[in-house]
Amino acid sequence: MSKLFSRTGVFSPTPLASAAVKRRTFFRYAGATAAATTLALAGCSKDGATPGATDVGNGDIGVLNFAYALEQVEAAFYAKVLTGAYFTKLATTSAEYQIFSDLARHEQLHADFLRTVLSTSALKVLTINLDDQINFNERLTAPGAGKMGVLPAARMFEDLGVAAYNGAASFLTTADYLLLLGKIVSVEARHAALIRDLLVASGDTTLGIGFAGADVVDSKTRQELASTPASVLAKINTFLGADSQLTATKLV
Amino acid sequence: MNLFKLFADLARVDPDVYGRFDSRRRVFRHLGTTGRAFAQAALPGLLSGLFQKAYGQAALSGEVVTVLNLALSLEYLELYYYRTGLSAGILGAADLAAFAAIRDDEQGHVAALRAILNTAAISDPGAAAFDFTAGGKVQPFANTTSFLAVAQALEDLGVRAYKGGLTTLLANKAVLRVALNIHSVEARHAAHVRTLRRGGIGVAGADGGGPNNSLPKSWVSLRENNGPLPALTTAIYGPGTTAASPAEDNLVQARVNVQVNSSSPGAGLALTAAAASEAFDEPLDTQQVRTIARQFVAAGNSQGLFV
Repeated sequence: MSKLFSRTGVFSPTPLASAAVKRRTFFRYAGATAAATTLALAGCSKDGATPGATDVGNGDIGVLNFAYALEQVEAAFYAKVLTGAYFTKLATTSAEYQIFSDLARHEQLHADFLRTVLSTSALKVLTINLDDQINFNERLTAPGAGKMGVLPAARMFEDLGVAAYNGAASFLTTADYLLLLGKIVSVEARHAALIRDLLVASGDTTLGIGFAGADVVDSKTRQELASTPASVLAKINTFLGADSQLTATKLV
Repeated sequence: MNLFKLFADLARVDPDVYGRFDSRRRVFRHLGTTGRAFAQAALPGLLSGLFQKAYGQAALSGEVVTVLNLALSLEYLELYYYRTGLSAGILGAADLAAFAAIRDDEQGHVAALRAILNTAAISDPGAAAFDFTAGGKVQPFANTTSFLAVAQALEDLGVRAYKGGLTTLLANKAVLRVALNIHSVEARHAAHVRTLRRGGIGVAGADGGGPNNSLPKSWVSLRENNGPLPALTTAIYGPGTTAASPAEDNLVQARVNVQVNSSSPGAGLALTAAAASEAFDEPLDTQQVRTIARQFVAAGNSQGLFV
């Protein structure tokens, strides 16, 4: 396992594999099988309890790979939003064009960053299937529709992301990694808050006040409702191919 | 009290005494030896709670108490700010509902921190301890615009402050979880306030927040052109006093330039410096948090807030 941070807190990265390579195609084709990767899955192991599933691992690498898996899915989601009729029909000066442009960029940045930090310990490129559950041509979920519209799907991923980061961070053992994930989670929370406000303005009555409703912020403690890595992966696995199912049995 | 005799006596009855202290082990290794001067300098700050924790009573390290009391002070600042604003007669119905929810959140955060700190918590300073004009820089309750400007300042400051304190809480998982779960709620608040400031969900924000920070995005973009009230907010988006607390336009994370490291997600969208800065919020060190927050303390600072 590469130890990226020395005891003194100075970040001393191990040489990065192909540091100069751009990650564009890597995510554009995230849905394709047979990703041409030769990365050593140092932090991961086949999970015998769930045949075919990959465990994200334990300790710092486990948490980082868990976060990386989440960001892979989010990045793939927003990249796909950019190609669907909802987004392509937006005026480029409109608020939602600006918002979803930023969301796509941020999640790409997060995924690429975690991939770089993890280096040879990174989880494989996942097979991601979004079309079964999400209709990228629709802004909202049509009544009786089997698939989520873009805004509800985005809200789901962002709220899930905040709960996931908050629920996983305490399994970290290295201060520098905790700070890095801390820098990401507050951005995800900002994302979530805005998308919820968009939905409330569009008539959604299930999100309370919006930006911080009782479904995400406990109405008694007024704190975020965090989720365990296992429960997060149970949801994320529904967007992953059979060859990309994940478990987090060591993050307990 | 002769501290060194105390530890020597303890060692006689409890050979494992030095191992029980879970912080600064090297300090205790030097007790009674040539390292005394160093140990003596370090001890006072460690003694509070030290024996309690070592011998089983639930207690927090001095560092943790400091971080949590700073957070608690900020929560009181926000709580009293929102309470005052809600009764100032400047907010419309929608904003009243939103800020009532925000105020309730801050109230909950005060309660949570007090519960953790127990007898180590600072006293409730009361509203009169604060000067929400920050020494006359703004009249926050004159109109919605001013109210929202200071609200954005306080929420973005709060996010940076909590983030800056996270690593101090690493060893105390239960406390860390609470801090994380408060931190993200503050970020939700900040996003909502920013949305209001730019004119609502139908208005596009601008890179860097636009001229005079009049079009802030819901996320922090570059240095926000120094924020809505530069005399007050430049420091909130600027660097702290430590290398770990860069300004909000920072592009380097873990020695990786995240802009260079990444590519366009598609649709011809450029991976701008603004986007790269927005994707990561920055922490602020406790010293800088105090310096900024002290501006909101009423003359005299009878409660000793943010010192």
